[in-house]
Amino acid sequence: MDMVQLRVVVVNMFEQGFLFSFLAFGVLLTFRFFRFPDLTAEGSYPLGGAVVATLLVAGLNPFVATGVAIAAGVTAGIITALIHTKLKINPIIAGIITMTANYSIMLRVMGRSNIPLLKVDTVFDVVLAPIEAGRGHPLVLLEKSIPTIVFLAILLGTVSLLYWWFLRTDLGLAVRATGENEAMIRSLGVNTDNTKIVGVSISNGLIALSGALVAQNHGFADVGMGIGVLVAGAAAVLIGESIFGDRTVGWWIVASIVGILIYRLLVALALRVGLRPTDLKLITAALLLLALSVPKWRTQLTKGGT
Amino acid sequence: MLQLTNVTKVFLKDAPDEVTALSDISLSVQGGDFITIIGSNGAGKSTLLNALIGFCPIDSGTIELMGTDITRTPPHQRAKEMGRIAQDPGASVCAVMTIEENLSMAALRGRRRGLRIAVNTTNRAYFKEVLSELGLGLEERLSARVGTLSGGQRQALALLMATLTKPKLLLLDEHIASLDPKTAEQVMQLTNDLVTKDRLTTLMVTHNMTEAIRWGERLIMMHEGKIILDISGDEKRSLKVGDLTEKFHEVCEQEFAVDRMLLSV
Repeated sequence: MDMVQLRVVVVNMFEQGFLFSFLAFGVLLTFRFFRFPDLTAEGSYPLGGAVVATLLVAGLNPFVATGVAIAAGVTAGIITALIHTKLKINPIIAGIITMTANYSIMLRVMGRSNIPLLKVDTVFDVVLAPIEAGRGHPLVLLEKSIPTIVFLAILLGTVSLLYWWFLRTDLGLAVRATGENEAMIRSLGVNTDNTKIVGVSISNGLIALSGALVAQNHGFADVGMGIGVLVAGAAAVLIGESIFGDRTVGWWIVASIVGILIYRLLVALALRVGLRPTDLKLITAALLLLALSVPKWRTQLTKGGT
Repeated sequence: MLQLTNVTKVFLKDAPDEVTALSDISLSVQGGDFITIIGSNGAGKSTLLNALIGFCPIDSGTIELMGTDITRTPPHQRAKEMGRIAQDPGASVCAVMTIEENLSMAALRGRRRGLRIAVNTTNRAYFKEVLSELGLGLEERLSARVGTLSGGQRQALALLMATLTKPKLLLLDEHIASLDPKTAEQVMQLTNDLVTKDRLTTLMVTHNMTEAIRWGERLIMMHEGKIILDISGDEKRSLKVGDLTEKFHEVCEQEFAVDRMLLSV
């Protein structure tokens, strides 16, 4: 790989990695703090894309459209949490139910299975408009990806700070404790039905934000775009954990971002060595499998076991 | 202060292996009482505490706290008035969170939790102060994860968390049973100090007859879901282990050998 190719890979890693970081944040909350794989993710992610695409085509402001997409994800999360807490149904099954129902809802919203966004202004078009307007000026030599990365870095930094702040509030602590030791936090007077609803809805709001941004960045929304996102998010969280270890929430947030960046890099490298884009889900699954099993081999090796 | 009237709880009702954990129990507890509850395995001691905290809804009877019927009140609403510690040192604390985070959760017992940063300079100073009273040096480890503490330290922290807001009722479910003898003694002394300092109404379940006699002002013995012995005052103060086994034998009027094995001295 020469320098030009390396540069493409690195730029791509940051651009796509930052887009998917919100997904990793959402998966962190359910998969790591609540200790269950929330399959609602595979519905709320494409739902974010579907809602934003439909609203953009209808002519809505891209920021407002993205906000509505987040609200749609929050709603999906609330539904899963209500099925789990009020009907006493296993949270994984509750997630599958919401995810499945969501597929039909998305098709209703979109009216078809794919909406291209090439002719409408996205958040990226609006934010980067001044730079695009200056193109041709000697000071504006950057390719489009660089300002996109800067914008995403600012957005991600803001959301990270808000997330970090929330997870350290009284409510945030109660939400985290619900996943760790439900009996304990209940005996301190917390209605854990409510903290579960708060946690799962925030998780899916973040995941829908990721879907909405990816749709706008890639230039289309598709009903199938959510397949494998939970696995990708879980792989990112586990990769991050294997690097930073299990520490404070601040480190978990850093670990999720670094984890998804490495995940995107590994995917890009896998494509470089000759695998096809259609092999992507296979690569994702293999990466999660590796992220799950490598720490186990490592412990066995350090213990000197078999 | 606490009044249980004809409380009954049956597990696996109508099944062949049906178990009556609480059989028509009535109990009146005065404010400030420190009561020890003793009994062999399956006597209904833990079920009694779980019925009080609300984790185990009862089949019939009523539970009143300070004149309010709480029989159907969900556990998270009862928690405002009740602190509880379980036997497993990990069960009453959150291992992945820090000491100060655990204490800040306990400081809000029964209150609304909003979007204020949980640990700040004000409550950190307060936590340091209350931790130093434990005399375990935990005040120097505020930001250490609770998972890194020993079993005894965790139970001491759990004790502090349970009593921090001075709840009306303290429920201890064999909270020193899984500790080594020396640590158990320390944690028990600490328990007694905290309970007597604030005159907390306390129900302490134990397997150990010596402990049951040594601590508290009133002793209750349970057997097969019933209260078979209720001793307080001078009678409790002069009580010996021998008296207890004798009384137990007297009341039960049945072969005692098996139960003697299950109760440790």
